[in-house]
Order: sequence, then C-alpha cells, then structure tokens
Amino acid sequence: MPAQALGTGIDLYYESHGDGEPLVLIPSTGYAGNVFDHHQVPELSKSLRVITFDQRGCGRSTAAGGVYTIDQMACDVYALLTHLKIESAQVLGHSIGGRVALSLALNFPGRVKSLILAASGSGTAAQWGDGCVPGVPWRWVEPWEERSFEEFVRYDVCETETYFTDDFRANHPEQVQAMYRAAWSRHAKWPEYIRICIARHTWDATHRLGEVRPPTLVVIGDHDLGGANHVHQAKILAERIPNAELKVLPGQSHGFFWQAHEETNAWILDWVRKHT
Amino acid sequence: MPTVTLPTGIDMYYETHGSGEPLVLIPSTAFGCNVWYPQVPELSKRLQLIVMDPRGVGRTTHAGGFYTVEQLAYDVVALLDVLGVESAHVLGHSMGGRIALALTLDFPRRVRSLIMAASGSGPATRPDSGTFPGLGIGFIGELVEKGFEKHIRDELIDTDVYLTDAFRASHAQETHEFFEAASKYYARWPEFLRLVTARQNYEGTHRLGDVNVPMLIAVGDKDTGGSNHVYQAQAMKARVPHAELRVLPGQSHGFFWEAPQETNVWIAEWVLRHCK
Repeated sequence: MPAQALGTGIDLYYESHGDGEPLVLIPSTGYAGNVFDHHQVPELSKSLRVITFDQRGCGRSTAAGGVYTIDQMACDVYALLTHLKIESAQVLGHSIGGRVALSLALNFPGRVKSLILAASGSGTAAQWGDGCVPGVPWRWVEPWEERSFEEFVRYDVCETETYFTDDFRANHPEQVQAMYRAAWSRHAKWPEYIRICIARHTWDATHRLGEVRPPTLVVIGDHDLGGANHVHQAKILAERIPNAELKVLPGQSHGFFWQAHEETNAWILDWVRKHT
Repeated sequence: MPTVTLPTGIDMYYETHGSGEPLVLIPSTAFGCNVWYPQVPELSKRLQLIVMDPRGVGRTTHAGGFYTVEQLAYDVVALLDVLGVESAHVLGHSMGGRIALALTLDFPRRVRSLIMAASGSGPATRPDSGTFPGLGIGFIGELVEKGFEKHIRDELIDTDVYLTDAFRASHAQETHEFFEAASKYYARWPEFLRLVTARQNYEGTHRLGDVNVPMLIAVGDKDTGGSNHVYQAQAMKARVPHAELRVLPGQSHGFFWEAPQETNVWIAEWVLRHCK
C-alpha cells in the first residue's frame, strides 16, 4: 500500500484490513505498524476493520524532521481518519501510542468512539521517579550511550523484562527473536528515535484526564514495573479518567501483545464489540 | 449564518464571505468574529474570507474543561475540513496568531501563508517575567483589583493598549464602535480565564524553525505595553529568517480598527503575492 500525503506535512504509510467496526492500532515508541502484523491483524480483521500505520519518523512513513510532539502525531491519525472518511473509530494505543490516542481523544473527541490505553501514561506529571520533570531523563540516555542505539533496542527486548517476562524469554526464545526482528526491521532510526522520545517526555495531559469523554479501558501487565513503571502510570490513568475500566494482566510485562496474544486479542475483541 | 458540529467536540459559529483565494481570520483573545467589520466588506471583494467565533466565545459552544492553543487550532482545521478547503492563508491577531502558528506547525500543508499580527510564539519570546508559563502576577493583580468588566473596558478603550491616545481623542465614534463590537460577543467568565490560561501556557518558540510556509509578522511600533508585542515580533523574526517583518508606524495593538484602510491594503497585497 502507498504512503498517503497528509495535511500534517508527512506521507503516512497505513494498512486497512477487514470490514466492520474500525479499530486503529497505534504502536509503541519507535515501532512501525508491522509489529501488529503477526498476531493482531489476522485475528482481529476477521470481524473488524483494523487500521495500522507507521508513525512519523518510523518505517515507511516520511520523517518530517524538526520538533516532534504527541499532539502532532495525534493530528496525523486525525488526518488519516479524515482521508479514509471514517467519522469515528475505536482507538488502541500501546505505550507512546496510548499518549497519541489520548491526545486524539482530548482534542478530537468526536473521532474517538472508545479508547484503549495499553501499558501507557498521560505524560510528565504521571511518570515515575525523576520522569515527573519534563525532558528525557538521564537514565534513558545512559544505556543508549553505553550500548549504542541499535544494541540497546535488541537488549531491551531480548534480554530484559521490559517487554517479555524472564520466564517467557527462557521458554520461548524463538518468539522473542521473531518479535525483535519484526520490530527492528521498520524501527525508527537515529535521530528520529530521539525526536520521538523527546516528544514522549515533554508532553503532559495529566491535567486534562478529567475531560476524557469516550469510554476508556486502561490495560496494564502487573510485571510492567521497569524503567517507566507503567503500573504506576496506569493507576493514575484509571483514577483520573471518568468511569475508566482498569484491566490488570497477571504475569505480563510491557509486551503482552506478543507474550499473550490470544488472551490479548480476546479482550480487545470483547471490548470493541461492547462499544460498537 | 451557520453553526457546525465539529469532531473537536464543539459547535462552531462561522461565516464565509466572498470567493477566491481563501483567507482565515482568527481574532484576539475572547473576541468574536464580528470584530472584523472593517475587514470583511473590503477583503471579501477579492478573497474568500473565513471567520469564526473561537471556542468559548460568542455564538460557539463553551466546551468547558481545559483549553489549549493547539485545541483552538484544531477547531479551525476541523472547520476547513467541513468546508472542503484544502489550504488557506491564515491570519491571526494576538492570541489568534498563536493559534495560527500552532495550526501551521501541526498542519503545514493546510497553510498557504501565515500572518502573525501583533502576536508572539509563547513565554520564551516574552519580555521580563512573562518568560515563565502561566497567568502572570501583573494580569492577576489587575484583574482582581479592577474586576472583569472594568479590566476589559480599560484594555479596549480607556488605555492605549488597542487604540492610541491621539486616535481615541479625535475619533470618539470609531472608538465607541470598536468597543461595542468587541464587547458584544466577548468571552464571558470563566471562559475568558480558560482562554487566557491557554494563551499563557502555549509555547511554540522552540518550533519556530520548523515554519516552512511564507510568514509575515506585523506589529505596531506603539504596541510596547504590558506584553510588548514589538519585542515578541522581533524575537520571532530572529528565529524565522525567511519571515517578513512589517512595522506599522504610529499603531498600537488595534491597527485593524485604527488604520483599517492601510491594514486591508497590506493584507490583500500579501495574500495576492502568495497565491499558488
């Protein structure tokens, strides 16, 4: 499929699979839409219209350069939905993708029928530790410098509990490798990756969480306690978003889309059907 | 004239006049689109003028909650989408200039040219203690001391913030007409505070280098009061070398009303010079 020229100044690569209720999947930091190709798209597109895309600076979309912001990345999604003539969609965002989805819901509430914030947060004020101060924390930069960027991405996915639990990595190394290879093949390169990280660490919408209008599901693995402590951030999302539902996934870390894909697809489908 | 429901969550009052090259006019803090009475009849002879009451003002709904400059910009984009206007020249006065800047930064392909009239890009280009985000001590002190109604009256016609002393002394009828128009749809309490909070928290200075459309910065050389727009105009020009700076001699913040003929001439000249 071709990249679509958008009013936001980039050409966005996207794919649309299946028919029915539209569900937009927004991936994690630096990841392109292809990370959902193996487990989510084939299964969910049997009964839904699944829309995936490469975020600006990632994979097959263009990199605009300059300053990146979360609101700007949400405008890319708004412009894509407008292009596709989709009046409103259910929107799932993973990690940084959740922030993008949240920005979309706050600024374009009419476009968002329901919101799924998967292992995500609302910005600076809800970050754990020194992350509560705007800007990329030193502890994120240190490992990039120590290991080199490319090796850091591999190490983080393949050798730490950031995405996959210790137990899962010991028993399913081939699945971990497959996910890493897919993610890295279209991963944001240097310096787009830094631009995206800076966007992540300078955005804050915690003060606006009380205004989220669409029904919201907050999902978090109870092992997702590493660097960014998404458990801490998810609790704040669930407390501050009116009527949000909180779903805690036992035994999961940041990568439940790949570690527990069957269960994950099941609760996504269940939620989407309930809000169709 | 119509009100349209936008996906940004508001019902927006807007007007279009004339046909030809589209020009959007975004008014100053709390003003409705009726303040463009000196511009609309003249400019619509050659251009398609698009004007609106921003969220929280006049005949547009008051969404409540937290307002941001980006959100106000997305309201304009959503309006252009409804009108089927792919791109337009965008002129913003004062706070409207910040909205026009945010629109340009997040939707560069929707903007044929940017006119920032008596405006600024955020705290970083403000003089003195204005470099710190949020409502300033001077603003809060004055507002509390005078009360809302008197604060507005003072700013509009009892000081030289908008109209110079000489003009007010010799043009009582024009001064009265301006006050009547500006106060007719002026944002009420507390929408006014939401709008000012949005204005005082927006920062676009770090992104000025990303402005990639023709840009005109216009400012009256007497507009040096409280927030010193001459200082802000110069700061923006320094960061956008390709921008054109137009200094209007003898004018303060309200040159649209104090010098309507001259103002209409340079607006039309700029727009026609930057036709596709």
